[in-house]
Amino acid sequence: MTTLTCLRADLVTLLRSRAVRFTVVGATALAALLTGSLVATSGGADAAVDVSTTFGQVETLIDPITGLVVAAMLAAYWGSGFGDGSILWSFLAARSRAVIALSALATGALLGLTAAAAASVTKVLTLSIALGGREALWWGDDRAVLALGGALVAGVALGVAATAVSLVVRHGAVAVGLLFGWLLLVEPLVARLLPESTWTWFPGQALAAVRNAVERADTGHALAVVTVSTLLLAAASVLVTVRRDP
Amino acid sequence: MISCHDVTKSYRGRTVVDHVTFDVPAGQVTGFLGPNGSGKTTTMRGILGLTGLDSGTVVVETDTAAVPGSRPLGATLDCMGFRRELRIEHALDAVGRRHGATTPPRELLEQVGLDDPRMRVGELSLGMMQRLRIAAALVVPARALVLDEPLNGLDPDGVRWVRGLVREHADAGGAVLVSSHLLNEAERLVDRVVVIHRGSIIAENTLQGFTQHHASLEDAFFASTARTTGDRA
Repeated sequence: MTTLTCLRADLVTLLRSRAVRFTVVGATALAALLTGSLVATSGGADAAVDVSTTFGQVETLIDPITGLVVAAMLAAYWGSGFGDGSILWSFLAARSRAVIALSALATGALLGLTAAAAASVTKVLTLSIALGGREALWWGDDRAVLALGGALVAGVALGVAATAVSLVVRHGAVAVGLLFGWLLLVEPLVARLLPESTWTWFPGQALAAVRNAVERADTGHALAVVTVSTLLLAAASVLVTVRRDP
Repeated sequence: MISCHDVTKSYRGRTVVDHVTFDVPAGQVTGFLGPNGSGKTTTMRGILGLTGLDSGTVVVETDTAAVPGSRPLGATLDCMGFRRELRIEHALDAVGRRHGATTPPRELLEQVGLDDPRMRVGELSLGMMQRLRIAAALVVPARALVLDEPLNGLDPDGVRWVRGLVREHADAGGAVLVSSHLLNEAERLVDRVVVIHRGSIIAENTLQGFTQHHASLEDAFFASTARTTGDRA
């Protein structure tokens, strides 16, 4: 079994899973709902809306939420494969165990990318409808490319990281707990104890900076931190998959 | 033919498979018997490459060219499962895609007696799950089959079906290794017997040779394991 064969099988199986379909549809619906709510609470289509503030809120709130929902699903999905023994068929078919991990990571990246793209399109469409074309579409300029690029890179990184953590711990609930615990608890707490200048060295903070590339000046540095930490996690997951028996 | 030579495996300093050597010849059904915790599943996992061995070798010699598109080993272990939320045809397809199967999943499901391909894995009974596992072991023709407790949970019809399937495979020249706790059924299923006890092989013989001084396979099995326990005490 080659990596491509495994990837194709993983993708088809993932798309056939109800949990995955519900998560992607749910995350997209959530993006639409939250975007609409933010526009409504900031004055609605008829009022004088501070559009840039609304855009900022949309960027900082919706992408992380949809990203975390998809990451949680991916972590639970791969972890459950070890719980129910379904991943053993891959171990039986693969000549190299690295194939299994590489395929899972690629699947995570693709789903992260797809979910981020779906959330971005949903945001833009919802904003267009909610604002009734009253404002010039700010995504028509260079900032749009930066915003979309940041969202997509963050989606891929989070998808890969969630899959990697799950491949390392081999337990869905533990993987979700570790991922959320790190991003929502450990990192913010540790960051508070350190000077603000060090924050972009934290993967989660760097991820937020990449996602919010339009407003941040330190995107290059953050992108490097995100890339390195994601690659390190991916490498650890490949190593564990190769060396540890299922 | 499958040859295990001097296979040893330890977990945290405890040896669970201790210098195990035996053969699974082609054209025969070899029963792999032993009490709980004797090392059967660990040995089978070692044969399948799911467990790294501390020492020893496993050689699977099969003439895969004899059956175009076949693979050396088809297997099912008790710990191998499927995603609960998937339809059974999709669960089987997931296995088939990994092994390059060409037989449509629905055809295989019909062969194993699972008539409703749209059922979810989570809805299957123990016996139906066992049938699905066996279908997964058969997604691509294999020259050697390794089946861990394939009779578990099966109704009498299912037991008869597995017996026929295994016999047909052996008669076609394939090697079959079957573990089972159901000794009465095993007696009707196997040509040869390998008994493992406390991680060591204590008997390897034809069924006839192993049972010649006993009324049944069950009697012979208990006599051999009791003798070993006595020897060690």
